[in-house]
Amino acid sequence: MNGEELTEQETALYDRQIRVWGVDAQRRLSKSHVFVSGLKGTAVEFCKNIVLAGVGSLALNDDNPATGEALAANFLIPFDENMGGGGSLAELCCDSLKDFNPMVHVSVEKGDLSNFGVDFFEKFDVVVISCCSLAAKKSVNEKCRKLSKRVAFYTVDCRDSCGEIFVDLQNYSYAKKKVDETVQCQLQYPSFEEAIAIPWRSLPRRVAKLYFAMRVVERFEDVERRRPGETSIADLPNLMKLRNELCLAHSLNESQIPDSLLERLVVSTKEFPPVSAVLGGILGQEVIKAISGKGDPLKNFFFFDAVDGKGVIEDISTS
Amino acid sequence: MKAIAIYAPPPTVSSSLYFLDQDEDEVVNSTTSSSGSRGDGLGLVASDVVPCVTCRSLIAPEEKKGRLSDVMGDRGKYIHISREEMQEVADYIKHEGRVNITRLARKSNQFIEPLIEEDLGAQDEIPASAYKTSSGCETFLANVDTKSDVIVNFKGNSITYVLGHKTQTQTVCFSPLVSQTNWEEEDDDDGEAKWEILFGALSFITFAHFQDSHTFFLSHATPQFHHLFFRLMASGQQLSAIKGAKVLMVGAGGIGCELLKTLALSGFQDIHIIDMDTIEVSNLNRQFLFRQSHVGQSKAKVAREAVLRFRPQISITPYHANVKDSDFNVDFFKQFSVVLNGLDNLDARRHVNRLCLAADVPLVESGTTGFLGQVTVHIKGRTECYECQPKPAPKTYPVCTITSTPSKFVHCIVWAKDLLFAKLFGDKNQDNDLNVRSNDSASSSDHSEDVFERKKDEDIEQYAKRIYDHVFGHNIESALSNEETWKNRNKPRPIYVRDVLSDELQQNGNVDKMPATDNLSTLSAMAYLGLKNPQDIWSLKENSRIFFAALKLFFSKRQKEIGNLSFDKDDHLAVEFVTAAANIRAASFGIPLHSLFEAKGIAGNIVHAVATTNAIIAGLIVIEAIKVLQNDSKSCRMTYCLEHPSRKMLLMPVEPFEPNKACYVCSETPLLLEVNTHRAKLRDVVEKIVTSKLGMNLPLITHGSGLLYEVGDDLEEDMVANYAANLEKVLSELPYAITGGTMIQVEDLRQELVCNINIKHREEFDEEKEPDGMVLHGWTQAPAVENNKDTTTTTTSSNNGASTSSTSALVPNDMEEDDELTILETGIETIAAAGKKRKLSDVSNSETPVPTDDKRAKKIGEQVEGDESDVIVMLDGGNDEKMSR
Ligand SMILES: [Zn+2]
Repeated sequence: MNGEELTEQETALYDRQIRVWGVDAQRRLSKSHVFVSGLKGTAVEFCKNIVLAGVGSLALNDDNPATGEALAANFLIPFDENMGGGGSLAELCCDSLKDFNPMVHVSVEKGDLSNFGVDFFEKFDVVVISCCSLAAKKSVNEKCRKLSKRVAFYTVDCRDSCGEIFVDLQNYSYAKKKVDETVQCQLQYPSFEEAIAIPWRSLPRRVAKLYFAMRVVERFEDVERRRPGETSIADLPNLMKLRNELCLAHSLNESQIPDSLLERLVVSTKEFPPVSAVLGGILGQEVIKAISGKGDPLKNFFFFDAVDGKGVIEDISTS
Repeated sequence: MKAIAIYAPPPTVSSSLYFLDQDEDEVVNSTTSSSGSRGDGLGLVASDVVPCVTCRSLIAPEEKKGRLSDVMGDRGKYIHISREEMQEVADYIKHEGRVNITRLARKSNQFIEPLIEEDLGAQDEIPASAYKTSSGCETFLANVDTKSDVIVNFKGNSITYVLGHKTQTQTVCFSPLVSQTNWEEEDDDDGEAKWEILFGALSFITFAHFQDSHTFFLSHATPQFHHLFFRLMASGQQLSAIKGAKVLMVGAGGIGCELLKTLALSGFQDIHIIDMDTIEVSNLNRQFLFRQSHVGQSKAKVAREAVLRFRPQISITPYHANVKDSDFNVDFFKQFSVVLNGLDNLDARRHVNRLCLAADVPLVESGTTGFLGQVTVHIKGRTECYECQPKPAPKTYPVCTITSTPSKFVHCIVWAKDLLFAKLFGDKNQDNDLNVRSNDSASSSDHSEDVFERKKDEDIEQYAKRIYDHVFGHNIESALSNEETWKNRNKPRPIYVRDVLSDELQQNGNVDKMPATDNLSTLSAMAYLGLKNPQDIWSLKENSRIFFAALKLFFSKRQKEIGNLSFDKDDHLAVEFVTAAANIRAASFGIPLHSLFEAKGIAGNIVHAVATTNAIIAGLIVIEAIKVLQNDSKSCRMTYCLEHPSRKMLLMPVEPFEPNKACYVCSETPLLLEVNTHRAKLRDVVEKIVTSKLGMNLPLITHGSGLLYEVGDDLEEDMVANYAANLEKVLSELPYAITGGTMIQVEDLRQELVCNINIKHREEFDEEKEPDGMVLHGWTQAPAVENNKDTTTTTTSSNNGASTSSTSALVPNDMEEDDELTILETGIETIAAAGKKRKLSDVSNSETPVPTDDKRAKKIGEQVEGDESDVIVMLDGGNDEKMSR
């Protein structure tokens, strides 16, 4: 073998998962570099999963202080540090995550997400951003796309008991196992901006209503210059107005974006921990798939709603 | 009569319950688009909702006064109710404890004198009785709190609920849709307990659940508002349900760690955990509450400490014990609101299922394998119990496949582990088929028994060689002599030491060269031979060297254990030995060789496990648990976590099935046992039926009033002797004779499970098809994966984390959460195939209606939900058969 074998320690630790995805995948995982920005409950769930899986490194970005609300959904930060603490969310999470798996290099990247340039993202194979503005999603996604190497880009958001994951793997080819043979598959992903620009009426019927609802809320926060999640029930009337405008522009029946759904998204912006666990798990699996090149990756949106219990994949693309 | 200020115009919408209603959007839409004039008095249409100027102007004066406590009728009429009046209502409610809404409304009319603006038509004076019932809301309220006797009609579109208004941020907007939702942390700055209550039902619920101050409005409301209101109530209800719940978690492994974390984050305050296991290195990749330094410690205890670090204020009670211990009896289970299983074996699952049924506590059951997982909900009388549907039997292999005609690597593993390893290192007195199938009568049975005994003063080297030549050479030769066997099979090749290791035997034999280590657990033939990578596939020669090295290490360094060893996947030397022996045998039979890593997985029945699936499943468990705690069993779902999407779904919810009326566990349907009552002994019935099939641990068998058999710690000596004697008697000669047409009762006191068994005498049994010599009907077991034509070697399913020493390999009898019992690949295949199989069986069921299955099929049709009217069969609807059982 070529000196890139897993160490005995790695084999022992990762025994059970190597039985799922194989040594090759494990080797690739241990050489991958992941960046995560926005450390609320869902992103933290994801970080835990990816550190346990044994990625090479994980860089955390979130300069916000650890407030009561942030702590409520965060199992990485010990209670003692709640009050005095100091330190940003990223710093506090970093300490705990290191502890989870000494074989993963966990670090903090300070600074505002929007200030990171294209070069910054070159270091990473996977970029995951959570709880950030529409503008930030677009811009980070574009920066990743400008690089010569492929950087897998993900967004994940959880509002109340609803959640959304977006995936951009650009041009992605992978080996798909059919009954007897292995075929090479090619997938073409749109960027976030491209995906959401697709006229609603040209989307397939029965696209998850959550897709539209999330777009309305996202747009609303953008127009009103709110920070992500900074909404209340008082915004509902305006939100519904915006919904109506968008539906009109897209010739979509307003019933596709029910008031009740908008209201849920706008009223309770807290993340519901069980839903965070589900989203963090799905996202973890997707990132593992993308790094290892094993298994059908999700294209390109995933929605989960605890009310109906469905976890649905939607392909919002032109290809 | 003064009218209470509630107005309920005839409903314009047939609004059913919106909360959790799949059809909500359609309903809402139809009303918004069809009833443009619905704003009536205010000229409001739902779509141009607000902030409504009219309303604002009406509220303004009250806002200035700093409080809002008033009512608006559905026509925009503004009604003032004084604080004192509200207090009176509140006092009345407090005094009564629980109030029927009709009475409360009537009473309220005495307390409140609404200052109604002029222009009230006669129809506004609606008598209180008009608010009595409406199915939708009744349902809702039933879900909110079944203990409540309040019944409200919200169907009249006429309630707006507005919470505290004291801080500026809490906008009070008088629209159909607006409210403030900060339920929990609202403090009363005045320090004065305010009971501003208008509408009895709302106040009652609020009072009962939140003890908080609110101002209520009646207003022109839309269906959307209903939804909002329901949701608010539900979220408040949810919180109190969570906070008041006492939860039992069984299992603190892969799912358990995730579950405990998610429960704590979700606000659960009182959690008990049972787990008998200690932490191992291979747990650390997913059981994230544990660290290297915890290896060897109790999972339950360490998990508790880890979670208390970020949630010190909650109560977690750990039990480092087996859930089957007598401490965890029905009374113990009764104290819990819900039981959540994250278990790793069928036996414990069945036990917990029975205790939950006996204690009438809902059970949320779960399991994962690789990327697959499922969560099911079991509520006595409402949904099927864990044992309502057959569980795939532990996989067994025909004896002769193992002993003579292996065709897959797993057959070689079973041979190496359960026959050879057990023969050499295990209990010599146990039956062992290592030689029985040999056709050469001279070398089989008695004579060859000696072969495995190490002779006095026999050199280890010699002994090892003798064993090798015997099992890989001589035995194969004997098997070859049976021409019949090989007519349609490839003949195996006998392998002798001299063929493989001719050059090095002399130099390799010296035990003195063996490493002088004191730590027996690190003994390794690989290390001794300089082999490092467990992923490598060794050559026949390497395997042979490992075989010798391992055997010699056992006899030189671990001789004390010989005679008592059973295979343990964590015993490295044992794994090496079994891998090598299996590979040599595989080479003999032309079966591809495997690496130690793979062989260990098969031999140890190691389940493939990843953190992500466990996290997802834990999240789903909590979601279901909350529904259960809110008594919202209608919303409960079985959810499957799939590897490949089905109908776009990765997480697929399915409506739970009703209890199986023929289930011997949760219904009282008697079983039927066909048995030769003149030949079968009571022991046979106990072992083959009561213990292995019915899964009872402490059985008690009675016939009429006579006690035939009993197991327990506190029995009198003479009783024990009596029972022992009974065991050896044939059924018809027992003190209380069991003959055809009689009925016996079998009971497990700890599980509080009672089964009646009707006895039917039958003279003959087919030795091959009915190896037990008796047949139990009404007890469901899925067909084993392989058809066993020969006599099968069977497996007890009484494995709780311990290694199996029986003569077969276990294959998924379940989706295993953790380490033991399952061979993964088979698991995945089974699951992947399940959907198709189920679909087929559904089709056939609809043609030949079997009562229960028919119902299932119907259910499957019904659960095509709401707007998704595609033609679909929930093709995984019955996955549970394969996935969870
Ligand atoms: Zn049952």
